[in-house]
Amino acid sequence: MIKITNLHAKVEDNEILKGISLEVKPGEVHAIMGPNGSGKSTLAKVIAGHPSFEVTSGEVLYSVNKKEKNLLDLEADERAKEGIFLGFQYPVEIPGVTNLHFLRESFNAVCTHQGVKPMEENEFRQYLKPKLELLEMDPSFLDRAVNAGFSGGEKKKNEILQMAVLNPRLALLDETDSGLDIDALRVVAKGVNALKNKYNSVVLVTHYQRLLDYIVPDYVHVLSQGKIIKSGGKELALELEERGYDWLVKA
Amino acid sequence: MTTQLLENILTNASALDSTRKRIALNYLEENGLPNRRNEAWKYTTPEKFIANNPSAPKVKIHPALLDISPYQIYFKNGAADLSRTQLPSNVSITNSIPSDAKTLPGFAGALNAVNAGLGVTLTISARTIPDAPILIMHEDDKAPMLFIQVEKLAKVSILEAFSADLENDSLCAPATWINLAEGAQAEHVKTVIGGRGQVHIATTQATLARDALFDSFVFAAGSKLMRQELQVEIKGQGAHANAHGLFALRGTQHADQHVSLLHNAAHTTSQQLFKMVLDDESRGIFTGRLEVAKDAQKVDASQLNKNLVLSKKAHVDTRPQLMVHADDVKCAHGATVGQLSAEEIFYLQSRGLTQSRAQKVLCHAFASDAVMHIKSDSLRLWVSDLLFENFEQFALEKFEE
Repeated sequence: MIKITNLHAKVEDNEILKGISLEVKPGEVHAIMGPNGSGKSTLAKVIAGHPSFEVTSGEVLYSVNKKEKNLLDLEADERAKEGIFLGFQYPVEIPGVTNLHFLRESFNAVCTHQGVKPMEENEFRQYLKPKLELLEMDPSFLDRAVNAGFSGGEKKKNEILQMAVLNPRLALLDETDSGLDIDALRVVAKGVNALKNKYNSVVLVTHYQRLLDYIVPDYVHVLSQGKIIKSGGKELALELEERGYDWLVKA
Repeated sequence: MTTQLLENILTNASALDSTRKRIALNYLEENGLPNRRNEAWKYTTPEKFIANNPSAPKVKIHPALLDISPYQIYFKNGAADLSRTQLPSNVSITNSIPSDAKTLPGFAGALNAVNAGLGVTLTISARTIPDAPILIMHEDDKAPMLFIQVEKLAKVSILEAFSADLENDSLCAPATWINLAEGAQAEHVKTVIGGRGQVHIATTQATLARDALFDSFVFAAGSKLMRQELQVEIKGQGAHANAHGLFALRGTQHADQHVSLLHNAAHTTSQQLFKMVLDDESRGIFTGRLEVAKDAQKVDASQLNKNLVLSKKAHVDTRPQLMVHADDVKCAHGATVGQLSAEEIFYLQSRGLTQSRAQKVLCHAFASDAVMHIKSDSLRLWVSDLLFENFEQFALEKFEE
């Protein structure tokens, strides 16, 4: 799915990623953990194509349907159209644009690129119905402005709704669990699990082990100062929960 | 101080005589034209914009406008053309104003009074609720002094439409005074489009009695100078005023919004949101004074001015001001000036929208968020269309790839 080799990235003069190598195969769930400022969110943003970060060296190869692409050559919107999705830690509010309009524009942009027929409004509303039910969202959400005045939990559910609509091959979820109460977390996790299959992959960026009780990872990686300092199975997350990060960082 | 321009304004004054006009002439002779030393006109010098011999503009009324409502009033030569006026029942119009109606204050009020003729009174009788908005079409630059009396428990939406043609150096100085009686509700929407040679200096005043509800919206994408003064006085308990506006500026357009909102009664509320989108070398000024009188306790008021700057050469000055004399009130005010944020553009791009499309969506979102405050559905749609026709389709060209 995605193969990252020796990735270095900086913002202004600060080098944040200092040689990341990581491979995610179809059907896998990876969790990226680490202390604040370790570069977890940056990694997700760089893969999605955030313009503030400059990749100074390394390679990100992305392959779908046996076609391999150098992801770093693509604009952020082109990456989205190729099946990369970034769930934002702080989703942006867009007053004046309804959720329905935004979802449809996004969906149709991706469909057109992938050679699928775009949907008219009524058909699209029908397409959304089961996805709204999955995320326990009232249909009135569609007529509200994107994220404007949404609670923290509503914003995160809306991110997963967008994921459900776009049906990405690789979903990067940046701190999707932060600021969620347990009920909202359960719904968000249910959504992600329902979308999971053997053809797509999920990378969870999280500070807390709690999320991993609900979305069980195949691999856990610990990031510190821009490098992966340890990788393991899901039991690594439990160990981190118990012992914190210090024992690894100091080692 | 008398300049040639002032001479011309005085000479060209309306031939009709009235006390209001005499007061206005005196005011202009004494004070001359406003300049930078006048705090209220600090950033706008009318002399730079007003042509010495303004010509009469040709006005083109948008045909689609007439589909909004059958209730239409045409203003020409400072009066309503009664033969073409169509009004709902229990709404009346006369080509005169009450003898005790004062000249609206300041330069804008005086400019109106020397040109305005006898004035026009529009009365919405008590408990009258027309089923569609009343449209006021200004067919030339001789805007009258318009006095709108909204009687007890009446509810009305009014659109005042100004649209001059592109080239003429005309001067238009309308004045509107809206008086809301107890429990009355009025929405006043004003649109200024076209007229790139026109100077539009307008003053609107509203007074609210107990439990009245006033909504004001101004949309301006026209005129080379657009000075809009709004003075609201909330006089009775339980009254609420909304003052909203959107300015969409291109080229070297200059817009100056001056709001003064006074809470003169307890348990009253108000909300202000003024937005400007500035492209090219345009200039925008916002001055907002929110005042709460000494005994006006439990007031809840907010004022916000937000500006989106699309070009490096556009310029904004914003002055939100708060004067609170009561001690148990809730007041908020603020101003922002910014460009489209990279984070927002990235968010939309990460959902598959191209960069140029993302910029357009965000710019449209910024502007239409203000338009959403128009309550009348038909007027809101109308202003949305005007926004696209008169601004977005041009200003957003720069985002094309």
